[in-house]
Amino acid sequence: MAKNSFLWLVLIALTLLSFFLTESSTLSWGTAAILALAAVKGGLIVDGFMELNGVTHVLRSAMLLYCPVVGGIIFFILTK
Amino acid sequence: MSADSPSMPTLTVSPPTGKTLPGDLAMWFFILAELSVFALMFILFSWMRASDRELFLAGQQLLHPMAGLINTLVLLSASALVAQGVIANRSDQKRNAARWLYAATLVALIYVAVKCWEYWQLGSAGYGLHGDTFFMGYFLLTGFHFLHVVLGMLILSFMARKLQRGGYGQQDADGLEAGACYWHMVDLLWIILFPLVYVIR
Repeated sequence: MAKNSFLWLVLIALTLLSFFLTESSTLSWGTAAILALAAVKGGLIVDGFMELNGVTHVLRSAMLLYCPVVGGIIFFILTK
Repeated sequence: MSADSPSMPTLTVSPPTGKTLPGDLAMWFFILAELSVFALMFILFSWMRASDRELFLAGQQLLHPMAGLINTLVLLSASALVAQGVIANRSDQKRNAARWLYAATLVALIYVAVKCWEYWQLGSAGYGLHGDTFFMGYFLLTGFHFLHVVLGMLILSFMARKLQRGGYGQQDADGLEAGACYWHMVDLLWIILFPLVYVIR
């Protein structure tokens, strides 16, 4: 219970932080920061809520890579 | 024991320390397929946006960022409740597990209400799927995600009902874990959709 509550609080805090960066998102560092926060949140969901932390299956790597890779491609397209 | 005396056979293979994949493998492949489809949609939306930045910025001004924020908080909260339900089932607290899942479904209803309100607002202002490329992308992306949320809610309700009837044992919870992972996938998709559509200018 405590672990999930803490994880939930961290995710909420990261969401609010990313939302307050809206005005900075016209700059490329702002966009990068918002997408980096999304990647961190994705990792927390995969390892925490999906309970893939400690799983040695290749699917865990695929899931952990999803947000950083998609976020990186979006950043590249939006800032090129 | 002397060096030349017969020694006891030693265990050379260390026991597996890694956890097993929760849920069914088939569900994970389904999740990967869904994530791939959405990745293509995110990339296409970004590419259309890069092609016509002014149109997308103007369209984005008509959205309600606070509605997007509320929906993000709602989906994260529902995910936490679902995760709690899976943990409760492991402790053989089926009634509690069912309550967590019903709570998650109720919280997810807020998402549905907010999204319907957003669609109604935009629709009554004359914006729709057949509008410009921004609104076509917006409605396709969020509409497809919306359908996944509704399907996820049906799955959560079904699992909660099954838990109430004594389904899903402590050692036989693959279906419950698979359904929970589907719900977390819906959350994971919104984690990217929210900044892409509402936050990044």
